[in-house]
Amino acid sequence: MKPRAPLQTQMLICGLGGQGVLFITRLINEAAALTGQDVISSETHGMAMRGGSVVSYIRIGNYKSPLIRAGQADVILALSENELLLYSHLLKDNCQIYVNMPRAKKYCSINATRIAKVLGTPIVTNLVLLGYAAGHASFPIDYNLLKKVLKHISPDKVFAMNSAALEEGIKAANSDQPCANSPEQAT
Amino acid sequence: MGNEAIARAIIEQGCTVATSYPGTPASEILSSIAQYRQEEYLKIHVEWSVNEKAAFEVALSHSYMGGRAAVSMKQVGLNVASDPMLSAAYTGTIGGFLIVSADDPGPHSSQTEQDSRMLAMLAKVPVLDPVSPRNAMTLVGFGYQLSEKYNLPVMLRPTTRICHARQKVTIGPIVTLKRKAKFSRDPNRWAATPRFRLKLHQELNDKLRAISLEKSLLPRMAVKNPSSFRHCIISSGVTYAYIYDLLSDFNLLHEVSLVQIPMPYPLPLKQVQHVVDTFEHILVVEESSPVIELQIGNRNKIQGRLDETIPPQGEITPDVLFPIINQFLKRPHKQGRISKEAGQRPTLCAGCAHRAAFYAIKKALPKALYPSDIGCYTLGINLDAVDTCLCMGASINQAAGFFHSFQITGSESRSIVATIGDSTFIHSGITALINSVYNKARFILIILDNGTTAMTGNQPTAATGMLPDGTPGTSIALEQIIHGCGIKFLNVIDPYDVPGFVNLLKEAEQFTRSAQGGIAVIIARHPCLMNRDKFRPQEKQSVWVAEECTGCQYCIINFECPALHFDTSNKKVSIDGALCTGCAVCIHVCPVNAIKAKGIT
Repeated sequence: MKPRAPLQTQMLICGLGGQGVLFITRLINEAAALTGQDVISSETHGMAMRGGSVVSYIRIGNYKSPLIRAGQADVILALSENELLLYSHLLKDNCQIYVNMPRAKKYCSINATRIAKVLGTPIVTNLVLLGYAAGHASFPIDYNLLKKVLKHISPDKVFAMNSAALEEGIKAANSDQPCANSPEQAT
Repeated sequence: MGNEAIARAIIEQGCTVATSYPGTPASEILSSIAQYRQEEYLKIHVEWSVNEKAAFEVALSHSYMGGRAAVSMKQVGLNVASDPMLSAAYTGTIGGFLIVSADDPGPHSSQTEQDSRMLAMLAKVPVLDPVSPRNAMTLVGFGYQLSEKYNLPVMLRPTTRICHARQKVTIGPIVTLKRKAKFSRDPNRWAATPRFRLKLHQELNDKLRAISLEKSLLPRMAVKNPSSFRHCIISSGVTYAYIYDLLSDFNLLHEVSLVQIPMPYPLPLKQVQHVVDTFEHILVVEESSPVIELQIGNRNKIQGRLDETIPPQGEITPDVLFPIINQFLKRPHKQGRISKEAGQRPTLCAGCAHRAAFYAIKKALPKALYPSDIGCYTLGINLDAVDTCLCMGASINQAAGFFHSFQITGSESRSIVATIGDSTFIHSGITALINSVYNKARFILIILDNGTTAMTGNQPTAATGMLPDGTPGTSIALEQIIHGCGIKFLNVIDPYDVPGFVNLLKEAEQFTRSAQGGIAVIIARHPCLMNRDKFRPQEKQSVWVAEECTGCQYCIINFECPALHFDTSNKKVSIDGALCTGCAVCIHVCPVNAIKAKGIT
């Protein structure tokens, strides 16, 4: 298995405080770092973590600074639809969009919340969405790397649940119909 | 994370005393040092001090004894520590002493956008301005070298985008200095009277002149280029990195000169003046105040903060910079897309006891004035139960001030209900309470005691007595402090008991107005639900909305629990079982008693 190592990728992870944006940010960061690429990212901490809008910027490749300019994001993972709209001005025209919402025709979407609840806890919604994104061939990071990092950074007692959530997401992507994915429709 | 990188660099430099008071964006520095100490079996005194002044003085004293020390805080925390800082530059230090003050342009999680470099200038303390987490690690090393070479405190000034950035960094070995603590008596320095202070001030100025010539901290060009270019951008901190990436994106690094200033104060004046003289057009970009710009003598050619080419407020993001740089370089600019959506405002967590307390306050004393303070409970503003939020500990003095203002002007005296968290009370509320009692103010003070510093990530407080590594220290009983301040009315209640709390508030109000009365203090005690280390799962009740719900949404508007939703399909409120913590406080809220809980009807 040769990990994909994209030259320059700019990624957004967004959601509400408490949805686990920071955890999957760290996961993607460390997985990207394993490819030997340089990574720099920016996170939201503080008051917004109490249910406010939070966003992480991840820049893989030769970047010195952590923020993404308008119209420059290659990939976005949105844990809620409203946050997708909030950051849509940052997306490239051909941005890959993965969003947690039931039945969206416009972009790659998955009801990650429902799947996580079936698994036993809505806490792993973030990992279902990440697995779903990573299950797509065009996603810049190999899901095997994500699995490796997940094992490393998950506390022992929740690893099984975390791993199951990531797998469910990947499985859903594999059985998914090809999805249209354009920010024009998102905005 | 940037804060982890700074923490790592601090211990790699052989620091043996590290102190802090939590505050976004600096909080993770000390917790990371505590974690490294545990992982690497290091001998370091790590403390969460009760406030930044205490943190500063404890760390400084270790430096007096020859050890390397570090104190970290957020920018407004530096205001609290400014008293010892301004003096410490005069007395000087022995062991390397690093002050980390994290600024928050935006502001994302602060009351002000103040620039710690301004305070460093005021205090005459050299300040280093990192452009990335990686660069911050290097500058921590330079900072300790500088501090020990000149026997001065040195400040590292990261901003939110450094503290909360993640970047691959190289980890180095941890130096063990094996220095024994030794106090060398020198009263003319350590206890200097004004006469000797003058001499120390002169010494300090001599040191600063020498420091501004330090080779490793001189301005540096991003790309070596000939001076035939007409444009030059001078920058420091994360804005330098933004500009580098912007110029790099558009292949402009070889057309415009970009200069980084690692040490904005004391500014290497000769070198910077040389840069200014070399180019026709100069743009100075820095967050958040024009520290570099103001030190440049002849500013005729210079664009920046002072002529408002750079907006005088708000975070300077790449999107803010892009049109400015295009205009500076006379390049065409196409306006990018901007977001039209409003972000979700933060709210107290489902099951948060603060919400219950605020609801009871509004119910018992709806017409009162509500001075409040800094912490999660500032979000009580969503519940209309917070009227003021000035700075740490101000709620109590402001309550007293409002009382005296009503009294002296003979105005109708509204009840005053101040709210403050347990950690903030210990930080700077105690002296305020003493002041209020002494000067005969009357109001109700509610200490929202959740047993933690919640907003910044659940750091332990002196009241819990837990140390940074989770081992027990000495717990300080709030009740004893409050009695010691001369308070005669003190009651403790769990705010989940809404009817009990409402009654207690009415009783407290009567006390503040009775002949023998004074300040009434209520401790609203319930552990923070986010404090996973300490929190033992509370009894969870099954809560549901019955048919009686009229869909009036009173609960959603006045209680704002994230678990309460308005279901548009049946025009009734429903409870999100995934978010609901089963606290069942909302059953007291519904005007038609439609919210039910198992065991309670």
